[in-house]
Amino acid sequence: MTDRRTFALSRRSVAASRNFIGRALADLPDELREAAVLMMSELATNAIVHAGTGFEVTIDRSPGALRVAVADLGGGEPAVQDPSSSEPHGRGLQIVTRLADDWGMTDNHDRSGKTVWYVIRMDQPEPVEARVDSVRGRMARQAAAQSRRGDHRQPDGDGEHAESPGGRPSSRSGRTGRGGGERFDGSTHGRTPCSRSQATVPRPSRSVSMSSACSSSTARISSSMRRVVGSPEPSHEMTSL
Amino acid sequence: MTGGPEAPSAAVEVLDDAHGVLTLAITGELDLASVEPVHAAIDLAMDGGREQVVLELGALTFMDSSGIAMVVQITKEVDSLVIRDVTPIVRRVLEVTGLADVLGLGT
Repeated sequence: MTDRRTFALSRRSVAASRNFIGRALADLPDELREAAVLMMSELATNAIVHAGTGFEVTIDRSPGALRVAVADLGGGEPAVQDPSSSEPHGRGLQIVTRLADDWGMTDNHDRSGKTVWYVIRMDQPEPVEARVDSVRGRMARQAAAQSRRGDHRQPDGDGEHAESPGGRPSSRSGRTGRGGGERFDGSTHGRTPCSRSQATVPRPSRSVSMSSACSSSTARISSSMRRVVGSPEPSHEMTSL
Repeated sequence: MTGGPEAPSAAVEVLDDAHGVLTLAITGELDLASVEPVHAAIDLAMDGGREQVVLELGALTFMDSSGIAMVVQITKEVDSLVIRDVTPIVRRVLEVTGLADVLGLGT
């Protein structure tokens, strides 16, 4: 499922792009949607202020991930900064690096400018249920398998074979490993995919579920937190295709 | 085109101004488009300086790094900046940038 919209070179486009993505993700848990909206605001601001052009937003949703790409027509390459607490500026990309599960930049192939993208992983129901079952034990697992047979079957079915941009299949193994940037965007070689090292400020405990996850173990913790916090009913993604 | 009805709006209201303490409410959404008029309004209300500025943010429904830049700038202009009553999304952006503790908003 892809949504795309172009925004003019105007400061008002920052809010317009927030409204666009907020509506497109209206069915997501608040925490995920708010993170996506905030990152949208930052990348739109960068396009207007630094690239000095309008921008195009592409939202790709697959069962396991949300990918948002912001393409501008300007030069330069955004750099992640680590400002001190008394420095007013330099926090736009910092916010993206800390909220996204993955992010990066790539040159636009068919025109000038660049694309900055971010990915938020969204759990699929099946592996979460499997974890819950393993805790509850064999009896519960058998019962769950019977009552949830439909949910278990779907992730392996053809209906889940969503396409990400460029016709590449979305990563089915995303829950056990990363492989994110290259799989989502084959043109990111040589650019910056993931910058865990930038997160030098200690993360507050509340932000576990929105952490920038650059290791599979962190990704699993983050994912399970999301499930607990945001979406006890494991079905909303399943009905999206 | 975009803009118009989707333009963000933010406003500043002076709640109290006595004994060197200026209390302001910022409402709406703080971003690239709205931060300049808001900052100008705050500077006007400060009228050359106060010992303490209190920002009531209970009706601020969005803030990104543009708003953060303004807040950090204000901290340099007054002896004391107090932020009160933040919404969850504003708290989140302050936390993710490491400023919540600096501003005394630690949980």
